[in-house]
Formats: sequence, structure tokens, C-alpha cells
Amino acid sequence: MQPSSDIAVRPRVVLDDPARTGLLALLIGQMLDARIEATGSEALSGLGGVTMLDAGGQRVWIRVDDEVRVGSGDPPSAPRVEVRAALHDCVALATRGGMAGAFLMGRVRVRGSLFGALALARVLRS
Amino acid sequence: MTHLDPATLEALRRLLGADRVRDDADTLARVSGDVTESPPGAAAVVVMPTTVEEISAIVRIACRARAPIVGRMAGLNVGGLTLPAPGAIVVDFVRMNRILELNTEEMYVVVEPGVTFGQLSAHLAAEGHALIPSYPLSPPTTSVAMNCLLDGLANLSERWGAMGDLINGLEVVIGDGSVIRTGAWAVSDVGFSRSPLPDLTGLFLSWQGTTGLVTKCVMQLFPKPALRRRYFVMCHAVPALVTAMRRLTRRGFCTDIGGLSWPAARMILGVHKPHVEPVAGEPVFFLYLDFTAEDEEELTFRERRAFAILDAVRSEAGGLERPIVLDDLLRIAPGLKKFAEFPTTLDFLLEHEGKGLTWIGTYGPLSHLDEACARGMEIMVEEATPPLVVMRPMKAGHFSVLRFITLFDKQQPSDVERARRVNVRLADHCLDRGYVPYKCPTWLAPKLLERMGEPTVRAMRSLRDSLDPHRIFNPGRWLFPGPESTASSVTRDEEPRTT
Repeated sequence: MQPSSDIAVRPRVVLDDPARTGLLALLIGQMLDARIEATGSEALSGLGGVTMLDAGGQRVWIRVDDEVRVGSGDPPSAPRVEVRAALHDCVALATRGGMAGAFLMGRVRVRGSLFGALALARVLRS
Repeated sequence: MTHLDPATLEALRRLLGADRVRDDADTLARVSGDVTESPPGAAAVVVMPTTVEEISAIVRIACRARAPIVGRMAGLNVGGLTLPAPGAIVVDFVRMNRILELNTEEMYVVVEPGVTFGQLSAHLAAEGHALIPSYPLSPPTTSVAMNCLLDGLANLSERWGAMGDLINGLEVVIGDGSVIRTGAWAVSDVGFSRSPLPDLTGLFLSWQGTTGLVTKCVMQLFPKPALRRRYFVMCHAVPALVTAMRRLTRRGFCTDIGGLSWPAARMILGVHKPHVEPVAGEPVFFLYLDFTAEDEEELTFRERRAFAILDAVRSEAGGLERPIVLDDLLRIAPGLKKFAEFPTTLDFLLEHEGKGLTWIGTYGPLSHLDEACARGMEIMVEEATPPLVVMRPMKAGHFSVLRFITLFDKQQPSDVERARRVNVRLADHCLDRGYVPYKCPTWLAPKLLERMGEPTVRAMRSLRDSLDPHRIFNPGRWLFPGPESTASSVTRDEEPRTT
């Protein structure tokens, strides 16, 4: 299945392996659920493919195609973008925004698509 | 004996009326079992008194019939402590649920044993009183008096100690049916303190209902703070967490300090059966810190001073993330809302498919907490059990709580056996490190009695016999014999097998 940033996404979040899903992945799964409930698939705009988030060593991946799958650890395929930040910086981004500033100050590191990183920041912040 | 003789049943019905004396199968089944792995008891009848006079009369009837008698409320003590001996009269306190006095000046409340924490909190809120109880991480149906008498812990225990320390006085029906009072309340109209009389309250505290039936409890209340804020700190190392707890509790900036291991976090977020190992990078514990104050300036001061302590621990040992205010977490994960509510209840412990809940809950030295916790978690993993742990400093760091919680499927014998096995290993582990179980399960009592030594056990038995000469109160707990029994034929749960 070809990931795409503008694909019509079914608004459903699935945990990849609930028994082995870490705390941060659960938090992000709940957050995505809330975003999708509020704005439908529009919430995931720009977030196609696999996105990785490493928050202080906790690795979470989000795969968006015909469903939204969230898991811990290694991603199921090569990520389109990988975002790294300390846990408290991730929480700050999610609650107060400021992705650009955090990126410029080196508190957030991005490997891969910058657009993907911005899409992640937007969905975290929305 | 699993049935009462007809004359005794008739005497109970004459006393209370037929509607408050139940011996139908459903009622007996309800009170004969609980959520733990312990085998069910065998009640003969359930009575529902409404006054202390009725309880005195019930005790006299039980004495004449030499029938065991056990008090009960929600049955959630997680020690199997209200499982009735064969043929027991179960006194269900559900109708003795009056809040008899609220003294706002001396900050205490007098409650009957049927008053629940939910009821008391609602009452205080509805009346607009600026007082709060110390509130356990338990369902709102938990009895206030029972929690105190079993020396449980609650959200203000970090500052004020176990719930037994909050008892100012008691009214108790003892084994001959007479009524006694303890604490200053025995001579004063005001139940202000346990001091300065000889402390009889201790004769009913953690005795698990073997010395009398408590009919009133005077419990301390505390000023309700104007502001409250809760933070979480993700912890990657148990030693750093315990160091932080120890330093924080000694300085007194927090109102509550507690640690919950990673399975608890996952369960709160809806995963009922997490794998036994955390995922890479996942915090092993999260520390929660409650701050309260009368205004924002005081609250901010407390937070800053506490966070400076955390910064110091982080720079020395690492292993701690920075504090995250709960409001921020709620914006990310609304599923955490349960943890923002006050009082907080860990209802996921009871709301799971298997319905089984058990634990080894202990009090012990804070100085041994990190090692005791770490090894206990290893034991749980070895027994294929998610290492669900609660720990907290108590009474400003004078001691600590270490509790290992196991959920299991009551319908699966192999899973019940797993719960028994892990409890036995954890109990031995805790005792070897100086941690003493509270709400001690009956199967575990022999190990404690052995460590106490014969003189202490003899003193306990002598005290019990003086208060309950007919040995009718909750026989089997602490291996106390029942009526018409000898010590060697005492009712006791089967020792869990360790195969």
C-alpha cells in the first residue's frame, strides 16, 4: 500500500500490539483518537506513511494509510520522518506549540521530511 | 457447622425482623466470597442491624449459640479478612451509615461503620465544610471506619501516616455484649485525641475484627486546600525515584507523593493485560506529586522548591524526566482524566474481565525501598505477572508503603494458582527485607506469628481472650481459634502451594 499524505483516512486508531504498547504510544493513540473525533480525517492531513517520534528514548511510530496504527519500538517500514526531542519538550509542543522555535534551538531534531515533522507538530498541537 | 440452629435464627429474627435477617443462597454467596484468591467462607446468616443496642444483642445471641460473628461492609480489604468461618453470623453494616457528628473546630467526624468515603466526601462538599478526609485509592464504597481499623493508607498518609493514626476514638461492642469507648472520648464529650489515656484503640486496630465490633469511629479531618495541582515525573530508575521520594517527603513541600509502576500507567490507559516487560525506553515508574496551597504564590513556592530537589537528584543520578503538570497530560490524553479526579480511585483494578484482585501490601523502612521494590518486580516477572507496584513514603518519611498488585482470572484455576504463587514469593521477599504486610491475609499470618515469637503471640491471644472470651469474633484471623475450638483445629485458609 502506497502511503500518501492526502489519502482519505478512516478515522480509526489501532494499537499495533496492545500488550506491548508503551506508555507514550498509548498517550499518542488517545490523542489521535481525540483529534479524529474532533475534526475527522482532516486531523491527519500530511501525516501519511510512517512517522517516528523518539521522546527521551521512548520510540513511537504512527502509520497512516487506510487506518491509523500506533506502536512502540521499531517501525514496520522505513519512516518518512523521524522526530527526536526530550519528553518534556514533546509535551510542551503538544500543549503550547512552538515547533519552529524548538527546531531552530536544537531542542527538536528532524530526520527526513520536514513537512512530515510539521504535520506531526500540527496534530500534536491541534 | 454451616447452619445456625433454628432457635438462634428465630432469636435474630425476633430482634431485627425478617427483612434484616437473610439466609437465602444469593445473600450468603455474596458475603462468603471476595475478589481475592482465598477460598470462600460459609456464612450461615446475614444480619443488618441499625443500632449499637442491636449489635450488643446480636453478640449476646452469638455467644449463647457459640456462633462465629464477622463484621462486613464492601468486602474489598484484599486480604480475605471478612471471609466468614463456617456457620458465621455476618453483620452487614450497610444500614449503620450515619454521620453522627462533624466537629469543624476540632476537625473530626464521628461515623458509623457503614459510612463510606464517597458518602463522607459528598456530605462534606454538600454542607460546604472546608474539611476533607484522607482518602484511599479505593472505590467510594469503601467504609471509612474499616479502612481506619485495618490501618490502610490514603492520600494524606504521606504527611500524617496510616489511617489507624487518624483514629481519635472508638465505640466497640466487646465479647460479652457490653459497649466500651476508647480515646479521650471515653471521658470527654469531645473526641479530640487518643491521648492522654491508656490507649485501648490499639486493641481494635489491625486485629481484623477479632476483639470486638466497632460501632462508631472518630476520625480526624483536615483543612481543605484552596488550590491543588498534580504533576507526573517519568522515572527510568528505581533508585533515583526512591531518592527523590525520600528527599521530597522530608522537606514537606508536597501534599502527596506516590510512585506507580509502568503497568499501572498502561492499565489506566485501557490495556488490561500488559506484557510483563516494559518496552525499550519506557519509564519504569511514574512519580506523582500533589501540591496544595491557599494561594498561587504559596503553590508556586512549594513547586519550585520541590522541583529543585528533583533537579538535584537528576544531576546526581539521572533517571528522572522533568515534571509534567497533569493538566497538560490531559490535553494530550483525555483517558487520564480518572487520575485527575479527586478523590482518585484505581478502579481498573476491579473492572477487568477476570475479576480477581490480590496483593502483598506492606509497610517498611524507606531506606530499603529501592532494593525491595526492584527484587519484587523481578519476582513478578519471573511468575509471568506484570509488575504492578504502588509505593509511597509515609508520615514524612518515617516509613514507606510497598505494594505488589496481581490481577487474575478467578475462573481459571491455573491463574488463581499463579496469583497464590506470586503472593507467597513476594511475602517471603518482603518479610526478609523488613517489610510487614498490612491487612495481613490469613494464609500469611503464620509467617508473621512465627517471626513475632511465642511471648508476643501468647500476649495477643491473651488479650483477645479477655475481650472475646467465647472466641466468636472473626475466628481464624491471626490464627485465633473459634468457639468450641482449640488452637489446633482453628479455621484457617489453606497455605498457598508453591509448586
